[in-house]
Amino acid sequence: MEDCRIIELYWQKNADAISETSSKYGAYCFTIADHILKNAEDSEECVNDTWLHAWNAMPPQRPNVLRMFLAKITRNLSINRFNARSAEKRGGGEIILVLDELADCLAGGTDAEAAYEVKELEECIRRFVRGLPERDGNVFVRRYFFTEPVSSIAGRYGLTENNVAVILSRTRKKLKDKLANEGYL
Amino acid sequence: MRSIDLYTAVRAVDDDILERSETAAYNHKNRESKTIKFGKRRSPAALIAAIIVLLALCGFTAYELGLFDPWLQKPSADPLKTVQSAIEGQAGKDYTITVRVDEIRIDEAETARVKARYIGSELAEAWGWTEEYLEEHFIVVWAKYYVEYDHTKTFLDDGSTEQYFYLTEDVKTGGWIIVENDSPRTTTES
Repeated sequence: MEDCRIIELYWQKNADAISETSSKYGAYCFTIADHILKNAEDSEECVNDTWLHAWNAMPPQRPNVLRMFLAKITRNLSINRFNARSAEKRGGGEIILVLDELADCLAGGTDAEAAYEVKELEECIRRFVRGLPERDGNVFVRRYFFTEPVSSIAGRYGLTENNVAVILSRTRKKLKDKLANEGYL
Repeated sequence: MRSIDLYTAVRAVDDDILERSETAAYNHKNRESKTIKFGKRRSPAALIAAIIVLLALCGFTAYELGLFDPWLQKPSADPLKTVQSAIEGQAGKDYTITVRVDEIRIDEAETARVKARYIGSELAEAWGWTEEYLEEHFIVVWAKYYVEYDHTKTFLDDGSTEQYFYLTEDVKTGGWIIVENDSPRTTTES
């Protein structure tokens, strides 16, 4: 079923919206969650919660790109679950490596506790990624939005893992400079 | 700021850029499938595999040009639904009078047999199908369907038909697509 029809079902509060979404995007959202959580049961629960959030969000929302709308919900829910799980010291998964890499961007900051508005930081990141060359931007979001392993990104774009690592390293350096220039570090 | 805060903030990336990262991947996969590096392949087996792929790609191009008759697929998370939609899609052809799916099932034995044939083959390598990929994302569906054609418009045989369909799963979307099929075996019973 086409996305616009599925969205229409949500707006009509027709329960078929959930089954259609699950059928079309269940595996996709599960992959996103599992990259973060590395736990099938937790990932499955996040995916089910995604449908609930989508149900509550539509209406009033009418997403332009349903897949990305769902991807963002799944990612947010998975991060929340990851945080809760970390508090219970049940860590693991690709996200641990991703967070270590992102810590590079924050190292050596003059004021790591500087106050900032989350919305402003998000806008900074949004503009930063939009300003990247296409290939670098693609690699960046595969790694830091979709939390994909470097090997998968390399396979996806026909690059070597070393290529990907270099692109990510350079991009993190640019991000660190941007964060410093805008007062986040 | 903690790295988790930075990671969380990446959620603000625009949808079109997230989409682009997937489209670019898709385009690359297509290019990769269609690019045969003859200079790097020296063994006769590799050359034969490359020729087979080239012929297949010629066929694909012919399909795109409308010279042949592609399946009208609707990739689904259920491989049976993909095949069913492809067969029923024949009804949309101007030379099809009627089509009806009678039986359809996953053929485990044929899946194992074809999988074993593909794993480690030059052809699988050329298509980028690793052993792990084939183990998890390859399946053979058997279908029996009845079809009648307008023979003023096509030379295709009609009647009760049995056919195998080879499908692979797109790991990103979870959708199964038909990548190959064997020749239909048709009898005149209805």
